[in-house]
Amino acid sequence: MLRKILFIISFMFLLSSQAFAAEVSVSLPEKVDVDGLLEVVVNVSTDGELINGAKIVLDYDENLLEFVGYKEEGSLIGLWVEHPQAKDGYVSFSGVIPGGVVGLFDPEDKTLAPIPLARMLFMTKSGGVANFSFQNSEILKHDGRGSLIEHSRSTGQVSIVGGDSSGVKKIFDSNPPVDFEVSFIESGFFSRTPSMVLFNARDLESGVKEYKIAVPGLGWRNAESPHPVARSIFSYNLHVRAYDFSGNFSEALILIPGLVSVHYVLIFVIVLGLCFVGLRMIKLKL
Amino acid sequence: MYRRILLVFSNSKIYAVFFILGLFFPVNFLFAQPFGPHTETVGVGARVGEDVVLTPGGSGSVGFFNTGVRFSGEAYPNALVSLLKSGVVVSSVQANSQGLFSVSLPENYDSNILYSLHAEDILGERSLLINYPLVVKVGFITHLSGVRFPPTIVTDKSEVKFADYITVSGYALPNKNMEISVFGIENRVFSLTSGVNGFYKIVLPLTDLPKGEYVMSIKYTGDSRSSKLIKFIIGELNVFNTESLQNIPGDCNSDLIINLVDFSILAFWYGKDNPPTCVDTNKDKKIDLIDFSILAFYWTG
Repeated sequence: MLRKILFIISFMFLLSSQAFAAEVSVSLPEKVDVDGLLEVVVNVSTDGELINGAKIVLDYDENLLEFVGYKEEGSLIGLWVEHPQAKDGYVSFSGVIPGGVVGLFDPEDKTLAPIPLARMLFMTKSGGVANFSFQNSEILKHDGRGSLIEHSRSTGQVSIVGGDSSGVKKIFDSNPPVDFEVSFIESGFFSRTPSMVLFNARDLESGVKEYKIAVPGLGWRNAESPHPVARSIFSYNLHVRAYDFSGNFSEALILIPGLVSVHYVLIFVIVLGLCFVGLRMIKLKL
Repeated sequence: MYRRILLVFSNSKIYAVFFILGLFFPVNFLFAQPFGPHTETVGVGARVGEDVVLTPGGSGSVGFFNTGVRFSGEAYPNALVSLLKSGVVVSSVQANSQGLFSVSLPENYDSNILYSLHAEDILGERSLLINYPLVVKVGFITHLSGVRFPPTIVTDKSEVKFADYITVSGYALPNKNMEISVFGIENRVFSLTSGVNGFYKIVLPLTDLPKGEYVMSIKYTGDSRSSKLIKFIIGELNVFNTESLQNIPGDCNSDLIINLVDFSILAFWYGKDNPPTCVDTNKDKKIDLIDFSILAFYWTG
């Protein structure tokens, strides 16, 4: 009898684990050629829950694939906290969707389709079956508290057809990032946040990989938005370049205001000079 | 082993044991339980044909398009409803005296596009952003109807003296039943009805709520979408709200707007130690994705 009861209890534990209706998954074609471009869409189905944030770590086979960027068009993450980047066989990214979303409205299906969070781009290197799985995933509710949604993760795979790579790198993105603007935020008088410049370029075909910044007299150096800027007495020009994953770039310029206006300095010098001359004349008369 | 299993399930007493144990363990393996589902009845349709849009500038001239999107629904009487595409305002319309609005936008190509809407009542109080990712197809007008903005909400105090009152006001659709929810150490729900012009104002007694931090929101009775969350404290004294003390999480520059500037300030402190209090939206002394999620909730654009 005791063995029967123990069996029933263990049976209940096994089956009482919840079947999560929310899920992260990947969409990809069944097969792709060697030296071809593979687009992998990371989706999330929320089962009717509003979400506004996601953090994803996606495993891929780096022997068969090379991460070459991401597509902003058709991706619903509007603001990246961490841009997609690859390291040691996984791609990681995180971001938010201001206002939250519950699903993709498709009038032809009349259902809520899964949310396409991001579109990753890979070049195939050699033939085989490439697997994709989630090493980690966090989905945050649009509830003003950042609560996590419990969800399951599904995997995906694609067959890469053909032999080894020809070694010739195909260029699929020959357009630079879209023209962008640089904004300046001045630090508050008692604020610990420094004065910064903001820039948010978009590249429709391979994504923005990095930014470089330059001031007069100094060379280009890597930067991220927001970027703290030093204030000097006089204003100066600051250049920002946005590079995509194919090496194309576009550039923007901003004038960082000086702490002191040149006009005020001149007026001050003139007034000081007049005072000095006036005092000298008074002294001579005395 | 298998005979024993069959014997177990053929015994009717086993089902009684299952039932009793099911009272203690969550027996939900048969059903995929929804997790606090967000139910919002919106209609999505697509039709072939031309739609009409007034050209910008109010010149009165009329244009036609056969590929695009249209949003219609309810905001507040004479509210300004703005349509954003990928975060940029592309069109604005004024709702009528009953709060009804309709806004259209021509498009040029097939795509998944994130459209957002927000509404501003006649006092300038803005709603939270509502997003609708849509599949746009050339040759179709995609119409999303049944959009309903939750009421706007403002309070007169950021801190309420223990056993005192708080005044809540805002705009909603005319003559609608609503619920104000207060969450904190204890929770309360208050019912009210908006006026004929959509305005509501109510003085809530907080006499039986203990001291502590609370959050308040309002929604239409039966709706799942709530307004923005208003934080307040029940404490030792009354602190009245001024424009600079609206206490919007993440609004470090106190401009009453949550936009890319606030996001960038948060991004600067991401992963850094000892962030400023105004940046740390959930007050856990670190900046992580949760802080960005809270900022995204209050986003106004």
